[in-house]
Amino acid sequence: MNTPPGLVGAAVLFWGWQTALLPLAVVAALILEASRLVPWRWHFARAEFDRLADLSTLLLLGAVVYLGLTAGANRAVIGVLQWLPLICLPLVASQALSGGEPIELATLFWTLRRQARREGAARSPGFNLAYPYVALCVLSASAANVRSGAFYVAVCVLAAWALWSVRPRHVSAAVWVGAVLGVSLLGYGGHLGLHDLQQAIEARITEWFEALIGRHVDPFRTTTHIGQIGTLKLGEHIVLRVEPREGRAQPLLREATYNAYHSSTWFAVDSSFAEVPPEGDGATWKLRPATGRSGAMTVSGALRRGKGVLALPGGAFELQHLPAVGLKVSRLGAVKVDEGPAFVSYTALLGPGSSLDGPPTENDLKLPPREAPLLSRVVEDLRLRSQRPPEALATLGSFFRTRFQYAMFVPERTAGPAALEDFLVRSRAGHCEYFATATVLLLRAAGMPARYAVGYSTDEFSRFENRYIVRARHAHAWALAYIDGAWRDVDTTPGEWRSAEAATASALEPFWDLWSWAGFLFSRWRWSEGQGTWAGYLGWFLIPLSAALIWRIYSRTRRGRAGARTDAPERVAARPGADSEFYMVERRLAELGFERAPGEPLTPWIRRIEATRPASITTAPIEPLVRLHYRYRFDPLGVSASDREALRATARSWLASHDAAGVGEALGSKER
Amino acid sequence: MSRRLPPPPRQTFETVARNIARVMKGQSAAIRKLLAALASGGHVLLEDYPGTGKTTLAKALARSIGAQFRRVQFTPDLLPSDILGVSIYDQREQAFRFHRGPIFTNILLADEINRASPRTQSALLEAMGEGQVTVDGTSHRLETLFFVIATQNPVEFRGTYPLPEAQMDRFAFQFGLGYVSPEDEAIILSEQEQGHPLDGIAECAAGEDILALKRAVAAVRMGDEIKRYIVDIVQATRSAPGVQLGGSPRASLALMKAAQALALFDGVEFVTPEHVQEVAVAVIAHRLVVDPQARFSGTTAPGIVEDILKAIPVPA
Repeated sequence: MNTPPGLVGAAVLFWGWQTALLPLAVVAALILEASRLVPWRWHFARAEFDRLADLSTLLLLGAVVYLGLTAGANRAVIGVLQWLPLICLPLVASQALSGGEPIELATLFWTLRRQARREGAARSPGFNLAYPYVALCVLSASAANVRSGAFYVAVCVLAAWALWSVRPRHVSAAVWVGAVLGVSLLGYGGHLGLHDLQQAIEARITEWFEALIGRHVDPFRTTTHIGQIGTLKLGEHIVLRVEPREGRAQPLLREATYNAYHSSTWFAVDSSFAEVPPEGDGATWKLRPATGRSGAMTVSGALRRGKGVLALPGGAFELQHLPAVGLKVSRLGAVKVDEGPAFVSYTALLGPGSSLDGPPTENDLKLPPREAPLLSRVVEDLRLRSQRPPEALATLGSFFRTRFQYAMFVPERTAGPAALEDFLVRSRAGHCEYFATATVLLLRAAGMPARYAVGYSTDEFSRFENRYIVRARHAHAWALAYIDGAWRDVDTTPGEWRSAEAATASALEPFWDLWSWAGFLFSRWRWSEGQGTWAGYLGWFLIPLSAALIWRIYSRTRRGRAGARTDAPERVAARPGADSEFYMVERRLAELGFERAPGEPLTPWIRRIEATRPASITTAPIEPLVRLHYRYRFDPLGVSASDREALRATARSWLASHDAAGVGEALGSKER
Repeated sequence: MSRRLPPPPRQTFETVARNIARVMKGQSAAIRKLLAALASGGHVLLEDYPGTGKTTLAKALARSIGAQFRRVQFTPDLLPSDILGVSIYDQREQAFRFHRGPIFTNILLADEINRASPRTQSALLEAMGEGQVTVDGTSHRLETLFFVIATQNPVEFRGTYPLPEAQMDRFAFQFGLGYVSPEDEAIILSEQEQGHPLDGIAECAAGEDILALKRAVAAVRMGDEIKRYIVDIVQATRSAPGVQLGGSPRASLALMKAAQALALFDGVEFVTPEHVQEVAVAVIAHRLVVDPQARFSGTTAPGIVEDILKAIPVPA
């Protein structure tokens, strides 16, 4: 470790604090700083560094594949970024515990290794991973995206810590600290400016892009099936799960609201989105000022590619447990996530008072010119204008309930404005889009501001899961009417629509539900709050594992005191097999008076001993020992585990039979 | 013609070595070096006194591997075209036709190479370095298996032109055969009472087997420490006292390939320091130019290399 004491540990702890993986970070920091606390050094051969680098590569690939499959590309990148310090830990820790033996570039890149093997080229000189690792910890901590000032302060402190040891000595410490503070402040101003610039550009681009491409639920427009022939068929798969936490379950979950109708399409006009700042934990969002609390509901479901419009019960003023990067609310009450997990399970707090919908504008009273005469006629017939709003709503409700029927099948194709006329006058049958559209337009014709809302109806309670489940076929449309200064849900679709939709369910539905439930449990665990719970368990599990690993390394014979490096300084090349037991045999033979000349290879040396040895020394097992030792030392492919064991065993048995006492006596008074 | 499976490379070496040893008594080390040069794609310069069996060794090798063999006796009046070939005007075809010289063969014995003029010696340069010869501006490729065994009498003899340094550097190995022991010499006498054993030598390996042997040598593994050791040895020759010109990177390469070949012959898949030491003198010494003063005081190039081998700590 060539870094200032404690810097690497501090960087790792900072990373753990930011990514909520503190237990793991504590273990990692202890391992990395252990080299300063204990005097032992472990020598790793190059092949072992190579293997550790391969292990890190495998961990990285595993993380990429796992996160890619479960979280989608965007989240996978962020997730892998956050885990990088752990992924690289084996290699960095081994270097730290070896007392900073240099790790070569070829260790990190398989292609360079192969090239070096093929061309017989010398490997590059090594380098120390400590500083790059500190930088990696900061990068990974930034990926956790905890938006507090502490991050910047901590990064400045770490940078100053790293630079302190290399500060110019001719400058006083006070001046140096002042310069660092100045630079930090400049950096802070610069990054705020960049952030504002990005926001400004993003707002423009996003609006333009969304208008261009459209979305799963487009908060700006929805094309109804009004006038299209055939059966409206929606899937039976479960899209949302709803659990009332306090109070009653809301029957309707709204996704988006529209205020302008034109030839079978509803548009959201003047509905720009405004950014909602997150609270300190990054997962709580105050959508509007709270005036009390009447209930709470938890809604769980998939968020395609981590973005989309949330389904919310009416009266929601705050969202909790929603880890997302950006959340926006439109003037028409749509709540949109820009960058979030692929699965969300958020709790909406409900309260009385103004909803998220903006006050009515002239758009909420506009009638489409072609349908206007027909609508006025119907309003005249029902005498809606002369009634007070509650009465008008009741009249309208009974008008649709008694004279219309719900139909998923539309027998004839009628185009454009004629479709609505056909529904109101002739066929008097249709699905919820007809009812909702007609209701909104009739309310407007009667002088009441009204809007068209789409979302889901929650009315299927699963005893098995003990919560409400919402299927794709529960998608619904209804009207919003502005009465007594507040927006109210007005659902005029005849109640039998739910049974009619349920009748389309297949016999296999329970089976699919079970499958979906299993998937839901897995997703909820996978995306559980900050993943801190199981990461915590993992951390506790890693502590004994690390302890066992350290013990295993410690108990091997490759111990050496720090500073007692045997490498000659001019040989920078790493020494594979430096822990070979043969060296003990060589030392023992030297003690017995058979010193090896520096330029004398092992085989001639052993043969020389063979020719001059006393009877008490056997050299027969040493020749095969030399062969094993050579394979361990000089074969780039290394030695097999069994050969390694044979080397160890042969050397030990020879040493046991030539221990100092026995052979010393046999040699008599041999000069040492 | 039936296809036969080529024997394992190591077996090829052992068969050929045994075959040559039937003729060359007591010369196992020289045979090993010769085959190491052949297998590692180098060329050999045999320097020894007349009558020690240099030519016999080359002929025995050629006969053993069933390769095409040509012998060129170098003399002071020998011209480059006598080795490479010459373009002759064909009256009937109204064009020049290239008549290939003796160099277009598998094994070329350049006997007493230092008796020819330097100009003729240099005619071998391109052939040994690049496997091709250029005559009248046209390049002609030599055989895939092209191996030069040159012999020379010790340089101090009369009527010799010492080989230029560049030519010496082209030879991977230089070694001598030396006089054999009295016992071996007695055996040689009794064997040649009735006839020459060379006549009884049969082909025991095909040209493809030798090519396979060369491929196998290239696949022998070598650790970084050994490479570093080789480089250290060669670099030490450049700064050794009394040396005007040290070993080139070509010397390092030749030493590496020779050590790989020896490892293969020993049945080890990787190179050990012993292999490097075994051939270091034969591969490096002839490339060194020792300054006259040092030579006068008894310093020889092989002695310098041996001292270096003793001084540099061997990886163990």
